[in-house]
Amino acid sequence: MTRFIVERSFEPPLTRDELSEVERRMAPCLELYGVRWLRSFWSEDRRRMVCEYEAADAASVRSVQHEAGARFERVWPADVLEAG
Amino acid sequence: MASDGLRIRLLGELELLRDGKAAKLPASRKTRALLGYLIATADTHRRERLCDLLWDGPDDPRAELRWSLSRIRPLLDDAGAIRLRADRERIAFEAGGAAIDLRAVQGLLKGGIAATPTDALRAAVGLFRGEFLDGLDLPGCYRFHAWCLAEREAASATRLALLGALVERLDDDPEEALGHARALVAADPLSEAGHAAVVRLLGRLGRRRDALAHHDHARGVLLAEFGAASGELERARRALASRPVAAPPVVQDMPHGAGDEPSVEVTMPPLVGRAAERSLLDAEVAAAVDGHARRVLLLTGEPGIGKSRLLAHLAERMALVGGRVLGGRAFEAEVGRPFGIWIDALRAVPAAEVPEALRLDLAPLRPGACPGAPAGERTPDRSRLFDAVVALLRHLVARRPAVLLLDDVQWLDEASASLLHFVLREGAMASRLLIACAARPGELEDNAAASRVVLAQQRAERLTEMPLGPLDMAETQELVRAVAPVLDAAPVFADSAGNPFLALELARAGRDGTAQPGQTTRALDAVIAGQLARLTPGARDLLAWAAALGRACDPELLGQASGIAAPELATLIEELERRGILRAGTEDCDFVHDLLRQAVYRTISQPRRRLLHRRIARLLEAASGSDDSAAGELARHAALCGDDAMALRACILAGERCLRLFAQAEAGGFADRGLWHLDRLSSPGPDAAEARIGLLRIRVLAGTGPGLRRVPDLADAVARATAAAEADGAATAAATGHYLLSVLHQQAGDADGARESTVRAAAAGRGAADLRVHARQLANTARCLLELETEVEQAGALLDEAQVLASSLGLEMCELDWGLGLLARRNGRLVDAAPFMRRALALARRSADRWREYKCLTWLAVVSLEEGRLAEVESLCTEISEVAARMGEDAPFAEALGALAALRADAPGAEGRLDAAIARLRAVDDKGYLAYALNAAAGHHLSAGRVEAAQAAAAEALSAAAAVGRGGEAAAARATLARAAAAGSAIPTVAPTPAGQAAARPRTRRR
Repeated sequence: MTRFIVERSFEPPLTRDELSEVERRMAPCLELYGVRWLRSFWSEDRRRMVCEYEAADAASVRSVQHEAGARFERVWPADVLEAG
Repeated sequence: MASDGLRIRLLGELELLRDGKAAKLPASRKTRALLGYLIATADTHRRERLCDLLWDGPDDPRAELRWSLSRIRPLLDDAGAIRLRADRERIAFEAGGAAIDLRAVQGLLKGGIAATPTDALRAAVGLFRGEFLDGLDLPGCYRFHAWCLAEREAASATRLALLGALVERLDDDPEEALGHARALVAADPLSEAGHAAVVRLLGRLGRRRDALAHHDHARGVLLAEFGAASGELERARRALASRPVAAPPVVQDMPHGAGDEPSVEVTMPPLVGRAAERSLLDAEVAAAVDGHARRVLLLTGEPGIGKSRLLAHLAERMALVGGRVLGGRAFEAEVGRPFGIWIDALRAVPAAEVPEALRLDLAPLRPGACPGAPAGERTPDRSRLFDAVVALLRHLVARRPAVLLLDDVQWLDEASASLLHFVLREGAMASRLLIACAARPGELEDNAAASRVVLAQQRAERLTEMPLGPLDMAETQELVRAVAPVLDAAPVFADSAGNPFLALELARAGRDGTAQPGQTTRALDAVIAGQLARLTPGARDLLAWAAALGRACDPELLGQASGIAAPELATLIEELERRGILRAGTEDCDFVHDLLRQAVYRTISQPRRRLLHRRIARLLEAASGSDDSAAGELARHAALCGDDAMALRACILAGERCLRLFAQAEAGGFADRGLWHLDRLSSPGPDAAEARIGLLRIRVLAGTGPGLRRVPDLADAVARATAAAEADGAATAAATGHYLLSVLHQQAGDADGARESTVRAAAAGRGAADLRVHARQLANTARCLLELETEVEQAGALLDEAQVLASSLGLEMCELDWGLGLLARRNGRLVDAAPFMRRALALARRSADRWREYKCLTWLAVVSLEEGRLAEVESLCTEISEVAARMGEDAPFAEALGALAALRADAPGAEGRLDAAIARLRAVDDKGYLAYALNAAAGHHLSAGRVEAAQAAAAEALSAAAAVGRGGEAAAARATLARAAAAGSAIPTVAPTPAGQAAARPRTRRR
């Protein structure tokens, strides 16, 4: 399984309710496409978000975003570098 | 005494004696159950009610009933009396002078226990030989099972009351009273009054030390179960202290085995005789090694005759020649565990040996072995699961021969039987796989699903049936010598009638000095009683738990249930292994033979059984959490301890789980059982309406799945439940009920009824807006499943439901047409697929949904390509690229489709375009579309005679398809690889294409 990063930006800023709604729509899609959500980083101004997923291919991650109607700019595979 | 000498015993194992001699009862347990039921109820029954009781299945229940009655009649009727009265509609039993123990007890106690003379009480107690209809538990026939348990409870209560009364009345005879008090606490270990009486009576007999020891034992039992012992036991204990202490000899009332020298047993009994069978088995192993195994072996014979031992011999022979051994056993307690025997058999295959491409499809049968796809989640459809099992078996035997051993197939669940049937049919060419089954013939007839498999093999002339008869005197002698060299084998032979299991047990008992020869009919119980008497109390207790668990069990669960800590548990299991009672494997332990399990279970009184099952049920429920894999087992234990509420919850979970595993028959069974428990609840509670609708939903879906029995008439039941839910104000349940009715009407071709029910569902509480959301969700899920090539049958059912809702609500949905288009393509109906796709495309454009527009255009282009409308493909690809550009994305798959169309039109430069598009698909990491393009490229290479290029493309397609679980593309890749191999090149790294996989993807693809 490969790690993927999804970049998103929101103007106006995303509200928590909107986020919850996207999460609700996304949950069954993730399962169907065999994509695992790992974590997200949401900027404090609520305008940017970076999400980390695990999936068999990039197309599956993109499809999940489209299926759930989630806004995103790009999807890219990533290596993880961590503090030793 | 009856004039003709017919005596019928219901209290204990069912027995019919003519002039003191036991009649041979039918081997079929259902037939014996029917016999017991007719006698015990002594009433007139409608035939259909008896069918419901025992043959509630897909076949011809009335024929089964007729067959059973024909076996029963000669046992009951004689020159003096016609006892079985039957006409076209009704069946009745009339005693006609026969002496029936249950009736005798009722006669003796007709004035009530208090008014009955003591001698009559003694006589009544003497008639109880064991639990009511002992051994006739039929967990698969829940109506009979529940009746039997209720009668058993009633008989047990009578016996306990009798014993209590005798203890009380025989105050002046403490010796006799003690015997009754002991019997009382043995039958009901939680009877504090009984324990107190034992303590008191021992004290009165001057056996203070024994009294104190019993007090401590009883206190421990009561503390463990209730957390406290109330006053009566302690009063008896205090009364001891006030009596002068005599110095009595210590007499052991209860047998203890702690001081015995444990005899050393070999777990596997010796194999004697069976020369013809052995040489046949050896020949079959040799045939499998040479790749010529063509037969299915079926070993049949009475319990204990040596079927399992011969299967073990077969396993040894296969292992000796380097073959693989896969084995599983069906358990009577597990008729509701779908694929149970297969899960056990496939456990022996290491994860590393399962091809990557099959792992997802096999996940339901290999729980825990495929972390990415836990059982029950993302389950492939049933045909893919079955295909995957065949593919796995072929893959395994490609390396070395194998034997698949299936023991006790008379208890096979329907899902396992279907899979076995499929494997036998599809695996006909897997001639390095030897399949051997063992069954009890009489009980095999009770199992319609398993019987069908056997019959099909008989018709195909592939079955080698090996009926096992009794051993002769010389063989029995040889067997006896193996465990008791100096014992006279003649009486053992006479008592065992040549049954090797019984002969071995009798020989051990003879050697250990616990034999009670001459009791042929109950020899096993007598032998077991002797064996148990020699065990330590802890080991005896552990055995009771193991018997109640009902199948091979995890020692950890056994420890938790019995409350025995790990170190002691290990010691006790060792003791039981040494005694040849349990067999411990690497992961679980089990009785060495099912007969032993049944015999031990028979020694447990009904109140204690309830206690054991209750604790096991609670443990299973507490451990289950979100995991429903043990729900079927939980339902069984909850039912056996009489906890209807828990059984109801478990039946819902188990039914849902079976639906997910495509075990429709089992799902329907759980729904029926759940409904039965629901009706028994004295105070059903606020969730009853929801539970009933939930169970009916399982029933409806179970009856509408793939390839199955007729749909039972459920409309009335659903309508009643829906009305009740409305009356209770359970809006959600009522809405679901109306919705189920709409599905049933739709299936019956009643479009108006379907529409009306849908509108009512909206009115009932979900609301039209919610229903629209629901319809969209259904269509979306179905389309998504089809696009991902998974759970195709379920997707079809979801689309049906979405269509009903959509037409009732006047909805137009892109997802619905898109899904219908995908389904038509999947089923090879390309002509139908294109109009659906065009309609879906129009709806996506109407709502300005770019992504759906892009997807529908892409699928339309795929369908056009497959239909050969090449010019249309090119223009669609241009449109796809434009839409993708507006979304800010590339469209490499459109490039690939355009290149493929050009290739077929023999346009110059097409191959280069396709290579570039494939490279781009790799770069954007879209494995699903990449697999499609590579498969098409591989086909093109092959038709151009470029075998190596075809192999390379197909191998990459297979790998990409497997990574994203696209079974259709994976099957296409395998088919190409097989064709390439046939074209002259060996492909050492890829398994041959299983038959049926090409058929699993019937869509046409022109190249």
